[in-house]
Amino acid sequence: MSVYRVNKLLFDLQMQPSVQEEFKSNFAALADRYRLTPEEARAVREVDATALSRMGVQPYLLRFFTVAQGVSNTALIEQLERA
Amino acid sequence: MAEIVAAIACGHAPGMGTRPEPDPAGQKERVYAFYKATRARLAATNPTAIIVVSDEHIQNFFFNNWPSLCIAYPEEMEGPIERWMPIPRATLRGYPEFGEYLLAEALNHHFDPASSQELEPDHGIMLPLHHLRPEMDLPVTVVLQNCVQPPLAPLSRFNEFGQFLAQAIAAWPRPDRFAVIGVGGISHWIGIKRMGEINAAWDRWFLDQVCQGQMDRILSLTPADIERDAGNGGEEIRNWITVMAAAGCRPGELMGYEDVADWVCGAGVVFWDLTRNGNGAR
Repeated sequence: MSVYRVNKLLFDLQMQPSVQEEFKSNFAALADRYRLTPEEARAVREVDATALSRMGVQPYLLRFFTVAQGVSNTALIEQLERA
Repeated sequence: MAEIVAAIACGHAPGMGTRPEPDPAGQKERVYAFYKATRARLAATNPTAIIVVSDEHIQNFFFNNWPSLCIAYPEEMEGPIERWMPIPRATLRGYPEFGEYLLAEALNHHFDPASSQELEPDHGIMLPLHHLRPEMDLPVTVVLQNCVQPPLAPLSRFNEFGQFLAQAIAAWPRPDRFAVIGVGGISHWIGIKRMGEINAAWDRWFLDQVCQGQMDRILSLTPADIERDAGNGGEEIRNWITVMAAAGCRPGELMGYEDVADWVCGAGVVFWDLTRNGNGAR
């Protein structure tokens, strides 16, 4: 199940320094290792909450991902409205 | 032989830690004030140990092994696990002898909890403790009840567990004075459409039922009711149900409620003084 792999990446990104580092320095390799589709990879890399919500990403994981990436409440709320 | 001397049900909105800047209407200030008042009431009951009933926010555990119910009883635990939560990190003493006892009792009473001897408590546990017992001096046992990843157990299960908790505490052979703190809620929508809404009217209705001990009315809420009126965040009322049941559905005191827009969450606290003569300092 593909959305499981996206959820897993977001979970691992929360606490694993090596995943956090790879997110910044070599995202393509990271996306490959988690077997994300091109659209999933794009949505994660661009922190596209609208697309991630539509895909069925776990809402709490999505929320904490956007917090860690510096997305404001207002911006997140607006992106979710469009989902 | 042990007793519950205090019970508390309160919110744990991350905004309490990340967005403390005062709002023009003074709502945040009032929330911090009624948490502080609850802190004093808790201290007056002289607890010797704390049980926090919370929900794991997918920080420690993932869906490769996701517990519906977990009793966590490490020797010690440091939190909050979230690096973006700007409250001071603290190390809590665990109470592994009690936790292991509670686990055995639960298994003997038809519950099948997961268990963990390791936990980095998340904001759901640390924010309330930061405001209600900042001394971080008492041993803590953590009960985690799934409120965030469907499918969720029906509300009745949490009432049953709360009743069980009261019995297990009464049968614990050490003369402990437990404070049971249930956290989460009230209405909020997290990471989904309608995020930002707070249903103050529903929150006040819910708080009335809690304070009046009207468990049947709460248990008659359907999943559709909660989804429509309280949001996915409102599923955390399960922890309130457990504490209410552990308090014997006695009348509770509303310490305060505010619908804090900036925290995207209704914030409320109910307190039960369960000391023998019920006269914790007022």
